[in-house]
Amino acid sequence: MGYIAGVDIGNSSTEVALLRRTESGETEFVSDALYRTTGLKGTKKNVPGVIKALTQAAKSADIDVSEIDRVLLNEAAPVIGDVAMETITETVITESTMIGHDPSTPGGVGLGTGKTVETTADMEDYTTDEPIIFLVSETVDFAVAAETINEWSDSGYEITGAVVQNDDAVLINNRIDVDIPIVDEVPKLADVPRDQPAAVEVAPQASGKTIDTLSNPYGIATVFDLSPEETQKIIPVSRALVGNKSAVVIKTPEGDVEERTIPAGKLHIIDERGITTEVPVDEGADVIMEAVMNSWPVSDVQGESGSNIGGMLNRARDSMAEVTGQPVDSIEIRDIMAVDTLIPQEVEGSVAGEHSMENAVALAAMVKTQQLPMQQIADGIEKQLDTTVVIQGVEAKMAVLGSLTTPGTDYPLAILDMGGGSTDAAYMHENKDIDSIHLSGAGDMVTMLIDSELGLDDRDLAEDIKMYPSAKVETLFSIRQEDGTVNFLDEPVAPELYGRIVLLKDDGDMRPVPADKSTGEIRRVRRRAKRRVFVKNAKRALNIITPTENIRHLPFVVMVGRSALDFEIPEMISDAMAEYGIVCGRANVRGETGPRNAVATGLVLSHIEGGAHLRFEIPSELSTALERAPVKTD
Amino acid sequence: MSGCRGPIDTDDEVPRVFVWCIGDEEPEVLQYIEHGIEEEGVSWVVQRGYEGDGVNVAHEASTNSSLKIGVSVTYDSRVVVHHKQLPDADPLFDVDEVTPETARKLGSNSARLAKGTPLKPVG
Repeated sequence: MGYIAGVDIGNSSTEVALLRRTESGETEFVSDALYRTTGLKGTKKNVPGVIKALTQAAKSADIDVSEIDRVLLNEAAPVIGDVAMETITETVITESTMIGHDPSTPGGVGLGTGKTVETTADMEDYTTDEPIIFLVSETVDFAVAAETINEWSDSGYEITGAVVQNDDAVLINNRIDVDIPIVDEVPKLADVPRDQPAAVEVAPQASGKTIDTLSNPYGIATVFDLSPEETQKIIPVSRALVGNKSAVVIKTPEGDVEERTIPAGKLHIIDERGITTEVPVDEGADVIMEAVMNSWPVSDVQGESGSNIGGMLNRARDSMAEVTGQPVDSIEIRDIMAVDTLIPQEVEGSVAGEHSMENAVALAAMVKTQQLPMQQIADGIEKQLDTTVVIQGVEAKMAVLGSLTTPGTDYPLAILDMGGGSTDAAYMHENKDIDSIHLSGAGDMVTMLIDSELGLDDRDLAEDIKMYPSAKVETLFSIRQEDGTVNFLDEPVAPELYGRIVLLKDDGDMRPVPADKSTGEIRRVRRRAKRRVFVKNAKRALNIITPTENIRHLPFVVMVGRSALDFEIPEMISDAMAEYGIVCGRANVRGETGPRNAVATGLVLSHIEGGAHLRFEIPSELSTALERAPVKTD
Repeated sequence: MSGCRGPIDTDDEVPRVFVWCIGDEEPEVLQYIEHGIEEEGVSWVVQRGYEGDGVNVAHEASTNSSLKIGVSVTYDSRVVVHHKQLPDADPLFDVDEVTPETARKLGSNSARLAKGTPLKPVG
């Protein structure tokens, strides 16, 4: 009897498939294991993770890890992916001119215009000719503020609105004799200019309506009597106020709101003939992607230093150089993927944390080098386990072999390996030759898009939003899922979860999402990010890998990898592929492990030349170990 | 959207948060609880003269409220916020010696329970 283990070291997890061979030569897979990858893929630091995974697999097969006779490693694809975001517009308020935030409970209703006056001001300094908008600072009690408003109003002043620092709008509104719009929870009230013309608007409650004057450039022009030139300038203000239930706009003498385009630099895309195409990043994703596909196959991409994207490209190059010990200039960026996005950014010079949606380009890059130092890992494992370690095959080819154990598949076939850093594809031809490619843009890019589009600035939370469906806690005992289904809970939710949007994690835990977003919005952002990265890359990859360069000629497409475990990515891709009449689905390696374990299984199959597990004979090219690993003799 | 004092009609159709004071006098923090509820735009009623433990009184108040929300206040500034569906001994909030700010937050939270909006962090 003998035991053979296939080990696949991936970016995030290390997988093992363990096979038993009886004296009579019969083979059977007895267990598999998964452990997180220790260190960067392809470095010596992977060894502890490999040992852990092997020990785990041995344990579930009821043997000691020393009984494993042979360990098979894959030659991991020498690629790493990285992502970056470049904002290409920004809105700057040179003087405080707008308060566009949405307090949960504004007071009153309607539109009021007047001059901004502190509630503590002296009545004698003002005439009754001019309407007044009161500014109520946090040091003033709401009852006092209400009294002041009533006094001034009784003395003949026309009070048209109020801007309040505390959450007091309803309390003030309930205690005054005039009917005015009141906006509250303005933290930086001190920054609001005094004695300047201002407008306050609160949308009618329980009407489902939002403000309609200050969100309209001509509305603001009417209120402040603006010239056509001035009206053009306030467009960013009105745009930032669309959809609000309340808003304040203040006209300052030198106040200016500007929408600027930030120079984001250029990308230089170099094709294999050495021809360079120059693309300005601020032209957007479509232009960049067209340039990439026109220059296909790309041999290198360079960014402008000083820009985020240039910095990211250099960072990726550097870390690859470090891993492989090769000079930086021998490392090439072989693919980039760009996606246009809108991200909420705090307006510079805002007084109530206002945000405006800015244009940005998200970019993922794939860095490639000649070869990873796999022999070092093999030596490390050999030393620790005193067993024979062989580098059995190349990642993509082994993945194809493993995937072919999925019931219902046959070759020619294409696999889509969707990971965190890259989307890989491989194709097994009629003659059993295998081609493979690596494209940039995968799970990490989806996480980045979710993070920035929802304005979270929290990668870990964005990762959870990507992985788990959301729900709203509606009562102490019930949640409503994205599709509207209501579930009742046995135990009441914790008070901090009440009324919030939560993520339904696998272990039954609920993680609150602090962002002020509905489940509908979260679902839309999440699915759009997945579609724009994975569906787009699936089409790109399959078009390149198909011999006829026509996706329609593919009979079978099998999805493997970490992102194939996602709860909605595989069906999104299947949906998109159905258009072309392709059989496309998630792998079920050996009929039992799902999209996991394809490479580890492939390694073992390659070593035993298929055995009874494949319905065809493996060509010798696929069943011989790579020469980089001289087999150790006992 | 208003508060009231004392007994309410048996056919009172306004859904209210029930705020019950333990003892005959109105505790000082009561007004801050009321401000919290008022700012959220929810109706409430204040009633006096209850006896017993804050948690029991708050739960009893919640069973009388058509919003299923009860608050109890003691003269020494203990505030309990309870919901009818919660186990008797397990209130949502039970805070001793509340400050005016916390009292207002607890008031807001009792109103927000009725509105289904996220609660303010307390303590």
